[in-house]
Amino acid sequence: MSNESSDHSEQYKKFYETWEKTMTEAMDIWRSNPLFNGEAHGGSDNAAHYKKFYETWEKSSSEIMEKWVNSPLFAANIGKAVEKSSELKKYFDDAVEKTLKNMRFPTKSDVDRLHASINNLEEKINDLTDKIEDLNQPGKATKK
Amino acid sequence: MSLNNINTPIREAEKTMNKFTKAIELAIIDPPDVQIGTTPHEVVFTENKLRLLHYSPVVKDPEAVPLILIFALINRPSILDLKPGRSVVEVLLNKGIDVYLIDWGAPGDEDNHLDLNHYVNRYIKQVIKKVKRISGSEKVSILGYCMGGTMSAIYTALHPEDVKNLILLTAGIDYKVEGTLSLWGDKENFDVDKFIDAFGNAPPEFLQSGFLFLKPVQNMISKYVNFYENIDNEAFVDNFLAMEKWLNDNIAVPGEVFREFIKYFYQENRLVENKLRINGELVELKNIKCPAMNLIAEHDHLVPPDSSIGFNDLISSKDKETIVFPSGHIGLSVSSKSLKGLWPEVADWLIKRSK
Repeated sequence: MSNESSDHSEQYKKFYETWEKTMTEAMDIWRSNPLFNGEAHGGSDNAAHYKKFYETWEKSSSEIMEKWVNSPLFAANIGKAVEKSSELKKYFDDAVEKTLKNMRFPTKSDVDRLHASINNLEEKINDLTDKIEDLNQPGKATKK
Repeated sequence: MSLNNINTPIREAEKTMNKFTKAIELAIIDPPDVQIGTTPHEVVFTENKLRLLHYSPVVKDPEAVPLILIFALINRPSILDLKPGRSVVEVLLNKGIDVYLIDWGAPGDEDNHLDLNHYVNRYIKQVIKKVKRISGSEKVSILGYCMGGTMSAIYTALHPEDVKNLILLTAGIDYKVEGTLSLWGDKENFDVDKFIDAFGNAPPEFLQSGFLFLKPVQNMISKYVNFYENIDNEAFVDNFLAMEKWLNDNIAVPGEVFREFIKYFYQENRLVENKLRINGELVELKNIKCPAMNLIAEHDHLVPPDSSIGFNDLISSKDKETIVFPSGHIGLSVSSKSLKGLWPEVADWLIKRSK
């Protein structure tokens, strides 16, 4: 367990360091903005500065986020979250299903079964249509 | 400070605000209804939610061997026919190929039992039978996209007598490669049994958010900033809206086939390790002997190039080719670069082998 937690803290540290580096770079660009320094020029100068700031932020944020979602820590945590929400959903659905059954109401499973039966019937009709078409094609009829 | 000095920034701010409002309205609040997948076609077969589309040929005598496009089970196949001028289907038709497409439809909760065997040995088999009957051809060519590519390879290995040519488009074959989806789908991180037992099918929201998180900044911020910057470019806006419509039209993946894809491929890599059995029958890629073309997107973040690149080494075909094209997973089918530089070449390759 201690090994695991030290691995995780290492990952958090890496994540934080990269984020800090990014923000420092972006803030440096922001600080060199004429608007920030009270030397506002024409609009295009400012727009170019904003754009540069955004591009720096975007590039490094993408890198950090991609590293983050690609980390075993993220994968483990998101997996845990999915597992727990699956357990909760199953518990809730089972409870609803049981309640409806006790009240003699048709449940979602009953409706799903009905739909599946209709689909099976359609498959059988398609198979029969196939056989009829085979028989109607001269020289192509097959014995089964 | 003169009045002019104050007016200029105010006017600029107003202009920016108007542009911003327009962008938000178009992209998020009230996007206009854009028609996608409009190339003329006829539905020639249906079973459950599946529809088989036959595109109206645009040449007098189309090629005798028809081509069936087999799409993934995630998202809609309209990405292959996004809009006029941005359509793989259109390129293929213009070259004289007789094109069919499988639209799997949106599975309902009642379809959660559909497994890989049903898709390969029932749906694809039925479709091929139908296309052979309509076209009068003894064999068909198959083009499988992403998961559809994996299923196309499996089908060709199991029923090589049906397939004249096989084209894979960003198809996952070897799943033991480094990639975000492989990491998330790993046995250690993802209990697929618990998930499918609870949800029945893999919900579209789950899949959509997973894809968004693969590139969170690009998908949730940069994309919209780029749209804002190009709001006055009509062609850009049209393409953006068409893509957004496709991206947001998500469908569920039937539970059993999702469970099998995660277990058999992501967690156990059965196809490459020669351990995949469908309905008891071993799927051996070496049974594929027909001409094969493997199309790979160099910057694919969903199916890493390494996942597809080894395919041609695993099959017995003598006539085989791999193209690694500089684009992403989706760009391979919608970018103007691939529609001009790749697809005409693919069509020519196919035509040469369809005599």
